[in-house]
Amino acid sequence: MWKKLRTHPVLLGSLLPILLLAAWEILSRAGVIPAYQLPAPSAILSTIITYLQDGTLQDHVLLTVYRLFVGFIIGTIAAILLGTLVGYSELAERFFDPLIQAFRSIPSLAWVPLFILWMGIGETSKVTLIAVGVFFPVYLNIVDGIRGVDRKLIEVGRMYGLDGVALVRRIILPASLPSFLTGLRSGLGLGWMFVVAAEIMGASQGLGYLLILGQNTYSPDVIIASIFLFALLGKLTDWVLKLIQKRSLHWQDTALAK
Amino acid sequence: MTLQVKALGRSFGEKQVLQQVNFSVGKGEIVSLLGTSGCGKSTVLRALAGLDNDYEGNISIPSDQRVGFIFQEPRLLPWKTVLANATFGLKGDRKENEAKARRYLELVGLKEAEKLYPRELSGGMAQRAAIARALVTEPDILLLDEPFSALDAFTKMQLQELLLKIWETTGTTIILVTHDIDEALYLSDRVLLLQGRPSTLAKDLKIALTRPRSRGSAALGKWKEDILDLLEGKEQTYDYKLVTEIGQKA
Repeated sequence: MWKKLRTHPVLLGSLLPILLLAAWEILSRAGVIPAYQLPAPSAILSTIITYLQDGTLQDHVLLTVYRLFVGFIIGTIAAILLGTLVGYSELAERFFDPLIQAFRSIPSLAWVPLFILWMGIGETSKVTLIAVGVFFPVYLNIVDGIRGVDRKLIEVGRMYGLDGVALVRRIILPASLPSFLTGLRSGLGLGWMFVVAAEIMGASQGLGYLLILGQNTYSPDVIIASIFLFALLGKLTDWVLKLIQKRSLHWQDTALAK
Repeated sequence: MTLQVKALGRSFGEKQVLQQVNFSVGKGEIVSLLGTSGCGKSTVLRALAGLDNDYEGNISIPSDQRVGFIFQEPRLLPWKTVLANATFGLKGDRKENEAKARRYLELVGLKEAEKLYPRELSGGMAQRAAIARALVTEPDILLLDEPFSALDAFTKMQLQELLLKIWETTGTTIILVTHDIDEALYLSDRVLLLQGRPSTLAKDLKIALTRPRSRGSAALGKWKEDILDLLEGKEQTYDYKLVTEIGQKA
């Protein structure tokens, strides 16, 4: 029994959450924790089910995921273009990088008022904010990745007559793929952070809106339900990227490769 | 004459590493560049390969001569299989390229390993794959930069035999950089000795021994002794008498 618990991949790690959930449920039911502050897990679950049944939860989730996705794609594309250029060309680095680094030191949430002022409270400002959040980690990792490409492999490429675009395509991009994928994953993490921020700032739909709704209507169950959904979706999307990472980097000679 | 080097010099910053290196290599010759570490022998090879263009002097290689390079480390692309690595230098039809690459993989004894990734290879296998990658392009001149120095003694001997076999079948010109006197003597028609600070070509020794050579033979032993004497610190004051003796032996 103990041996099975110790070696099973999931069992040991899920022990503590299960115990905590059980304690929480019991304490809530016994009235030790007041329900208007922290409702029982079962109450939160039933809130989620109610929202699911009337179809509103799906709409909220879809819209949030949609915003994240569009912002993520835009931020990533911008990062790929600029990152490849800056990583590859020293001239481009000296031209672009100081400005980009300066912008990076602005906490991205500080943009919110300006974006709302410029683009209104609609989708554009939200997506822009998410794109800005995603851009920096992806950009930095691409630049680092390209810089970090083994000079020895570049020499192999040159020995076989490659230069310019062919060298980038056949040596530099595949060699910097690990770093790029790491960037994508941290970019996605930041993307989730910014989608919450964007939706808290003003939205009439989305999981972030549910947070505010819960706050305004004194419904902690709605808040916790949406926090839970954020966690679930964040984990799910990261898992997808992790899977892609594992698939495309199976050639890597690292301890994690196995 | 396949390849000619005239007044080759190279400095890194203030430091002059090579100066006035002159030599030429004939078609189908095996020539070793021998010297202590840091003497600039790899620098000569990199200049020959076109990987370094900041040298002084003149290197002439006829434009129809294809140059292949084998590095000290295998330098396989880790994201490609052995077969894909072997076809890396080829253009054109993929099927044809793969068929060709397979022939060379068989020659280097990697027939069974074509689907493996570099991380799954031993050091010797990886270097064999690198040799196949260079051979696939059918180079007229093969440059090797201490290609076996990271391998164990047995693997090293196997690959030296392989190199001779390749040379016999293809007749390619081979220029080999090494710090291993035994290796230079076993393989080469000529041994070029780089010496001095900055280095220059101290000796051009013709090893007129027939192949196959026997590794432990007295003749090679004598050569080795002489070369060791030459290398031993007498950088500025060569024993010219000894040099003449070596010359006569040839």
